[in-house]
Amino acid sequence: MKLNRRQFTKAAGTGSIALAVAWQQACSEVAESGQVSTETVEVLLDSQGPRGIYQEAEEFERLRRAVGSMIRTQTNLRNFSVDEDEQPSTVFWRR
Amino acid sequence: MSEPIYFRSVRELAEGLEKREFSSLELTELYLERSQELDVPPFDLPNEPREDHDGKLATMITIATDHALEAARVADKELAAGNRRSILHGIPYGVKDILDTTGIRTTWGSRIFKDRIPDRNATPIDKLEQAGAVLMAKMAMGEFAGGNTSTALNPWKLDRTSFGSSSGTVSAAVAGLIGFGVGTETGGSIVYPASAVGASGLRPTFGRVSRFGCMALSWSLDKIGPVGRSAEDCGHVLEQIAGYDPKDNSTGQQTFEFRVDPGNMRGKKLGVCRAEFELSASVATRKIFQEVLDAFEQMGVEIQDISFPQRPTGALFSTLVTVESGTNFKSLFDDGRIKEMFSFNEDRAAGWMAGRMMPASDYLTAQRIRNQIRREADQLVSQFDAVIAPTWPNGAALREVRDGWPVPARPEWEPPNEINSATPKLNSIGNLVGHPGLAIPCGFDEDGLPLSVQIVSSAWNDQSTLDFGMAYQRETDWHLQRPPFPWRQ
Repeated sequence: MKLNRRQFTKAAGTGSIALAVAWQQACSEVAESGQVSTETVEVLLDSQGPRGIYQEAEEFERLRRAVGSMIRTQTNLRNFSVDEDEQPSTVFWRR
Repeated sequence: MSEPIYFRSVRELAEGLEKREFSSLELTELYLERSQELDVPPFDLPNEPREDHDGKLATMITIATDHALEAARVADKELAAGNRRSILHGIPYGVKDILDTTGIRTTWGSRIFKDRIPDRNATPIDKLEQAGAVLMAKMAMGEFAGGNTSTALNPWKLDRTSFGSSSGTVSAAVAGLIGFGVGTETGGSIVYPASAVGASGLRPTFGRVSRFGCMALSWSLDKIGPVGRSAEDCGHVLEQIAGYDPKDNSTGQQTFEFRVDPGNMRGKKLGVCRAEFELSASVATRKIFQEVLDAFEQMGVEIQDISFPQRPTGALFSTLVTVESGTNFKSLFDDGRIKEMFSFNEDRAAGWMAGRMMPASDYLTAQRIRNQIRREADQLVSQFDAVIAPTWPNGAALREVRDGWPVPARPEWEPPNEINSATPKLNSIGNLVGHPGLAIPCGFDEDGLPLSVQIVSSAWNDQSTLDFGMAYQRETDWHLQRPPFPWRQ
């Protein structure tokens, strides 16, 4: 689901944006413009707890670039065709 | 024997102790004096790469003088009583400052933890203590085991990188400041610095060595391994630190008994990652790498070119490390200490926070792709006794860092990812799938900087990896070359 900027800002203001929706929004923004908007990064950041050092504009900008980079990396993996029978290398096991 | 004592191999040092040519205390004092003379420990960790090294190496963060002298005295008493615990008994060593050591500060290479003094040993430290080895120093490293941010200089030329992140450990081993070392690797942090300084360094099979008490950069990728002046050194150390540990659920039940003699190599099969042999822009360097293959052929080894399928290894590695690091270092963000990281690591910290935001489904997708690569790599590598590629395409680059990479010493020499990002890298694959990898020196580039090849075998076949390294070093003397002193500027 891709929200337009107004819908996203409004929903974010009510705190009703789920992390997964915000991440998908970020992915859509990177696909369209190559970068993630400030509003979307703020929602993603607030989902992690207090903003901490990212209250500072310079640090926030650094984070915004990092999120964009992460999404471009992730796109490489999402585009990779993995066999449906493939399990992750994190399967819980007992000795 | 003309080699100075401080450059001797583990076996030679053990023989010297056994024959009472020197005591453990004398040996420890020798290494301590040499370190005081040639090394300047960064007692206050700098916030930028240091320039005040004054021609010294800066491979050590903390020199544990009192601890080392006491441990050496105990070793001498036990050796005199005929109670020899292992071949390492009485030999001083340095460990990357990422493993906890009781009562000796452990900084993880960061100012944030400059006063952190653990009340426990990491499991490999306990095992080395049981083996009678003498802990002498905590070695310089890239901050939080990341990249090329160590203070340690390269003894072959001080303006060159010793890479990261186990750089202090490898530089000290090559400079004869320690008997042997222990480093860690997530994506190349043993083999890359070993390549830069001409050390022998082994990344063991994932799960071979317990990581309990070691800082976690990536739970699913971190490995701990030995560093020395020969492949045989690495084998002796691995034998002592390997083994199952209930405190690290990644460790396997497989035991490791080191066999010193590699035996006859005739008929053994060596897979060659040919594309990586062509990555260097230097014809002379490519020729040196080819001579390694020629040497194995002369031993009767059967050589066959191989290629791994192209897979998104870079994206995969980046995803796993940033998500896991971001999760592990959450408290640094919560209390604001993350702000104290080195300035050139700010982008890395932001990446960790971005990693925390990634949905779990994407992380699991990455681990599914990794599993596919593991099956493919296992299938290919298991057809050979070992596979081989240059550890790094060129000699050590300049210490200056740009975009997270050392700057090439010559304009035409670029880091491998820039040369050809599509080339599957043996090192990336080996780290992702947990195969053992041994870096050994194999010559010098036009600037006199060491070159190195990495030998990789199937999981749990660490001995096979070491066999190829020892066989090569039986026929060549690159591992016996020492950096000229005074160090070249």
